[in-house]
Amino acid sequence: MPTINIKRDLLFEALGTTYTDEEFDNLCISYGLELDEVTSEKQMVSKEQSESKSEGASDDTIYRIDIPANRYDLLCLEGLVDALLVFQNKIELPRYKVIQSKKPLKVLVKSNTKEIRPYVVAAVLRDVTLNSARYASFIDLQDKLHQNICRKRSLVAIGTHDLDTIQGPFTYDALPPEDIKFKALNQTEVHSAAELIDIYSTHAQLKQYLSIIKDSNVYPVITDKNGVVLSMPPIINGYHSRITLETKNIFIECTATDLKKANIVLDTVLCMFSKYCSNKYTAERCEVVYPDGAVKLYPELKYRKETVNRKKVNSYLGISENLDNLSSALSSMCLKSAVLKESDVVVVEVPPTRHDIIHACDLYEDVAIAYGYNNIPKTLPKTTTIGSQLPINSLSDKIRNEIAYCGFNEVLTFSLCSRDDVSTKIRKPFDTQRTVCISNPKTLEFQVARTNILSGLLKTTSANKKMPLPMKLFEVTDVVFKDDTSEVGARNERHVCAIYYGKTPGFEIVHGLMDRIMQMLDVKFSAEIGSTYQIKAANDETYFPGRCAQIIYQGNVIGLMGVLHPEVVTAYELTMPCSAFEINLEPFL
Amino acid sequence: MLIPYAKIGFSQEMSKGWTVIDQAANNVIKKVNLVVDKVKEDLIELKASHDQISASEHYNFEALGQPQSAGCLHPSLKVCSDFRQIFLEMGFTEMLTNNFVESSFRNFDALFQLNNEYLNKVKTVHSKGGCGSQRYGYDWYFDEAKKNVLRTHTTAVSPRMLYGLAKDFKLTKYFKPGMEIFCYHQGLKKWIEIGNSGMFSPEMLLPMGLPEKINVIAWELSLERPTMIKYGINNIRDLVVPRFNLQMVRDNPIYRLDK
Repeated sequence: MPTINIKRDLLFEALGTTYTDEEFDNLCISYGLELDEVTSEKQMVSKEQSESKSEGASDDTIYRIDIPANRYDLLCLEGLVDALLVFQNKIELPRYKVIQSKKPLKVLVKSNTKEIRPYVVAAVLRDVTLNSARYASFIDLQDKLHQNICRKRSLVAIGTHDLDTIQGPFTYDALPPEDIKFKALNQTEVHSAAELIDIYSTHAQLKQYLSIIKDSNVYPVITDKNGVVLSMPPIINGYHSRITLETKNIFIECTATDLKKANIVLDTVLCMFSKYCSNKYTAERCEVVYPDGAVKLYPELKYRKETVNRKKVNSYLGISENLDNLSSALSSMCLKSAVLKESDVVVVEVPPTRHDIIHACDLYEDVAIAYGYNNIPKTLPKTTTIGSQLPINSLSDKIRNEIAYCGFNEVLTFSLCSRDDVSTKIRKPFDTQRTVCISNPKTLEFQVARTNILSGLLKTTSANKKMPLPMKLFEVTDVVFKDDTSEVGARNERHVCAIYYGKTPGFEIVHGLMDRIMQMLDVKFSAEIGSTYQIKAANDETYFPGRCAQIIYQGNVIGLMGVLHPEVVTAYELTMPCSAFEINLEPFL
Repeated sequence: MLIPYAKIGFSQEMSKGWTVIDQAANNVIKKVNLVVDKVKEDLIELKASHDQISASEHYNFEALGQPQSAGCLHPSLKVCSDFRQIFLEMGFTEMLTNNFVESSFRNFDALFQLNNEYLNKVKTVHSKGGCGSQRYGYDWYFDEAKKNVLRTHTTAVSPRMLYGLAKDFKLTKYFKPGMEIFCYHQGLKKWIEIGNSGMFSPEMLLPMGLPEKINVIAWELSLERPTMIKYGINNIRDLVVPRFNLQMVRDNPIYRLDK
């Protein structure tokens, strides 16, 4: 869920009303948004970096607002304000229009682009009035779109240019990196594409996008009639055509690997910023000419009709509204609606700002928001069902209680751990056959799915060294093993693990606890085969030689217990002897 | 010889030298005039001075008793038990969620069995639209869906369960409408989100073969946030290693939702 930062004073000015934080929070909630935080640039910098760096940063109040992931139209102040004003019935819904000029700007697509980034869409905003706040919002919106729907520019990349500095027709080509040379935004010199890739490899923001084209034979590039480079998508725009506060006419291009998303992105940028055109809410059409001669016209800014059935929406939401109310509810959500005469349906016009509406139930959702979730009457279900719990969870809970009755403390550890936790630290080779590895671990602590609980308990002990001794800890939870017979190739297994850490090894204590669990499970200690358990001396790298035993239930080894090997203890920065057992609980089901 | 007055305490009187036997007269004669009962006096004195005993000699009822070497359960799991109990009381059946490793298909595309007919239906819904839906409009790749991921939410398990139901009927994590659940945090003095819920969208249900009139609602609640709110824990890391605070776990009261 994206979060946008909006200056409060600008927001209230645009909304034409001043709210208290609480009032605005309530407005957000009623529209399905969340006022996440009230802060300032200064506070944010001092929180994220340091107090000293925050000096000179602005003290203006900033609202951080959480926006639903699919509401691209709310990602900037302009869209948010329009949506809230329509919601409050204060303005008419804007109507977005495409203007067809006599000589539309052309973008000629070369066939090379198929290899790397095949699509481009484009449009022009004419006679725009910018100021620093609008400019900042324009850049912010592009950034938010890049991070979300554009999947970090991999699907779509936006380039915006001062049209008066360049001349159409434009060419969208893909060229070998050595053939691309231009002065990029914020650079003082002309660089080749290869040099730029090198320069940006340490750039805080841009380095994340390099991999999209880096290893390709050709890089996408857009040039004008005179060979001026507009941009090298999805990395950087050219310096020449940069937007300034004085820019009047803006050329917007979106290159993409996903045409549908490119159109959504273009529509969104146009709808949000066409309000600053002298001819409000209009955008000028461009022609994209493909190598085979096919001509596509953009932007689409399409309006589409959907119908909502009164009975269906009422039963879906558990409300009973009439057609007129449903129609005005939808209209307040930027979905202009009207009752279809002599029918039981509302006809809804889905505007180009609402690309998130893909199904009738999206419309139901907006009815629910406009109606107010908290106004939906609460009713008891008409059906009776019999609840039941899973046997494994029911058994686990009972065992957890029994162990706690014995004076052990329950802990909660992560299901992921480091490679070392399941290998070197417990003196075992890394078991590639059984261990599930994470392909892209974020930290060293989370490289694999745990195959034992023991290391988690040892980590917990280590983190609580200040606690009085002895420490008696346990956990009943799942470990994960690779398993070819399972559909996904891995399965969980419910384990019980307990450790004793104190001045003496305390083997008899964990042994006694294990006996107690068996007693509670009604399993007898006996050499006879049957529903009995036996303990057999064993050797295991994790445990001290001669101080380790297998626990056998119904003839199968279900786990180990013993005094931990001193190297295992010291691997977790512990200094006292420690005993433990870990058994599989599933055979007792 | 028969000695008169040989009653209880006689031997004590003799040994202390308070009496003597007159052999000639065969009689017992007092040897002292007065016997003082020290014990009785002491007891009287003690009783009298009881109120003057210094406070330090009283039991100190201001202090706590000796701590018990008690075992305890983890706060998050105490909350979990209560949540489970509530759902059970409402007649819900627990789902099998013991698969941390889940296919990307189920986790993200909200799908179930890898049979071709179902797979194709899902592919169509995602790329071209269908089941009353416009298309999401992206190309859907089987290889991508086949990849395994660590489950990011237990909702992925639901289609699995529903599929089981659907078979009996002969039938992306997308909630439509979706509803977030908020809870008022006394400490932060604001509403914070503790869960998500909603109705499963038809795009997810129909490819499974569930009849159109069947609606499915779902909730997904976080355990940590209610635990933190209830127990006044400020940092979620206090609940897990390495910051895990064993003392806090030990001191934690039982979880009562209504208190």
